[in-house]
Amino acid sequence: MTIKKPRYELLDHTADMGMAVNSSGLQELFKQAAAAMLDIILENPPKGKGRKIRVSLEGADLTDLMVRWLGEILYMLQGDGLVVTDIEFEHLTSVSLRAVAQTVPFKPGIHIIRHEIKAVTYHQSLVSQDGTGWKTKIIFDM
Amino acid sequence: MDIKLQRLDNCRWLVPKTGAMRVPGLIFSNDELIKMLKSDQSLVQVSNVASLPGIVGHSLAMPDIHWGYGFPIGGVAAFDLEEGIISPGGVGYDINCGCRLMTTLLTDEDVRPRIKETVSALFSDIPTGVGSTGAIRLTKSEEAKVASEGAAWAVKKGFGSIEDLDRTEDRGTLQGADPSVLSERAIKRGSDQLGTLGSGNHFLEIQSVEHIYDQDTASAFGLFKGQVTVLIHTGSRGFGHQICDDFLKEMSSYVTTHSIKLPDRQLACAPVKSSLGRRYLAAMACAANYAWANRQILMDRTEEALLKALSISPRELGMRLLYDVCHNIAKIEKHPLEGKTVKLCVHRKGATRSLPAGHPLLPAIYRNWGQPVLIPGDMGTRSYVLAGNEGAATGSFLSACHGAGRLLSRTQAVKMARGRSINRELANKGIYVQSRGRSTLKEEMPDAYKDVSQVVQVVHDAGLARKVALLKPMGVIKG
Repeated sequence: MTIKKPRYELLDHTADMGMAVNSSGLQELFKQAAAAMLDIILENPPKGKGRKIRVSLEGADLTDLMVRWLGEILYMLQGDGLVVTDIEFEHLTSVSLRAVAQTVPFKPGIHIIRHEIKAVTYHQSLVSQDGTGWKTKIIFDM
Repeated sequence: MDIKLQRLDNCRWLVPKTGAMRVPGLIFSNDELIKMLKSDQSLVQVSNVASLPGIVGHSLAMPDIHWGYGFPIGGVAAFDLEEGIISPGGVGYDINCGCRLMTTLLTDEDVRPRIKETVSALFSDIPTGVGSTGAIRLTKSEEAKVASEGAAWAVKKGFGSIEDLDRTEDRGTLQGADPSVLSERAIKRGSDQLGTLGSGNHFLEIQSVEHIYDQDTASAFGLFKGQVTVLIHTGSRGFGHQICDDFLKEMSSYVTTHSIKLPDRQLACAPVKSSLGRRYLAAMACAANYAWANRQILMDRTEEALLKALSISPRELGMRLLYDVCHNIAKIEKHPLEGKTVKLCVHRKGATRSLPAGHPLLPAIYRNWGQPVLIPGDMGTRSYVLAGNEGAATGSFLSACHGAGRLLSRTQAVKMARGRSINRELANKGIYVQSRGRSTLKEEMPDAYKDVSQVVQVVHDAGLARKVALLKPMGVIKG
């Protein structure tokens, strides 16, 4: 299963930038949030298959887990030069996750960066659920 | 949260102590700038910082305050070493983001006719943009030396001269750095980014001195009217971002396990005296040193690019470092408090240190004048050189503002710039700009920032630092 084209709302922040993502399921929310963040960073994020990266994380709660999760996706790009193109979750609870991320190499000059995200912050970040599904709000340091 | 402000005088506003606040807040601002805070959440952030354990004095904000994440940008907070905390969010991701100003012997007339070639040479020779990498590849052991020694490492490698260290805050080496506490991720990200400018609000600007306010101090600083200067604004790049990220996550777990209640998770912290607090300080010092080495190298690259573009000799260019200051840092410093001199952990998140004349940490060359305080504005207006004043010693834990402060969000700025050519608008003002990112110029356009003149005037009127010179941009490179 590939990540659907992310639907998200950009949130205004004086110094930085945020996003709001909604989804019917929790796994899909984590996928969509990752895809939305990459869509903010890259013009036309690439698709395809390449190196698989296993991710295993623990958090104090879902919000902490989301911040750590997006931080991992961001590190793959900034530290390892890999763009995540697909994600398969093996396990996702409110305090831990295990997933396999499909990646392709970031190619400077071909993949265009439109915004630099320095980090995923905890400031006003939230994962919540209501009658319509799951939501997350994240503020990035730009 | 509704914050009620009390106007104390024409440049100070009190945030009274309410709720969980342990100390009051104090905002340096004027009647016009203070109105701009009503639309964002920076006042709440001043109040949140005031609730952190061990805070002393006031939770301070400089006149360029704006909404940050956790701490407000422009925030200054000092903590007791026994009862107080250290917070990576109070320093920021770009640890030791700062400014470096170089003077030259050239005048506006020497450079303006060749500004396009000059900016192009700088743009070509200085790596800019997101994830930009430099010609320097560090082995792990060499990177540890950079992290421990800072600007002194760069000087040893032939970038600039030993005299530059006298003209750098903390001589370009923050003591206490310990590379053994760094993650493999931080080390990896720092291996190839030394000597790079980066992106976002980072820039290199060629300027000319348009006005001198304080002739004696300007002369002591080596400034004269019409002189060409170069200002560099950058920090510790991905190395610093990773260190902040690593420790925020660790401290986020710490506050959970130690049941520390925080109004904002981004304020995650640990006691200064705890093992985790000390490890963060040691890691943060590594990033601070990396940033100083980075700016030292960039100065050397700038000199080379200018010599080439203008076909002149080093003697004709006469480039000299005026000063290098950081504006994202936490430091253990001595300050007067309740009649005694005590050591405190001072966080400056978007605030510049400002030492008055006579301060023992000043180098001999500036001891009679005060520390140079470098305040960049936006790329279309002006920047300022100030000198530290006595008011900073008694009123702001030796701090002043760090820039104009953002007024518009990036998305608001891009919307406002729709249908406009920012490049052309700047060119019409005599400012030639080259930038790497597609949206950088729109996001960083002059309208996105507050009026730096008002910000600086508040700092001047409050006695935190006094105006020395006004610098006008003529060429800018951005990531």
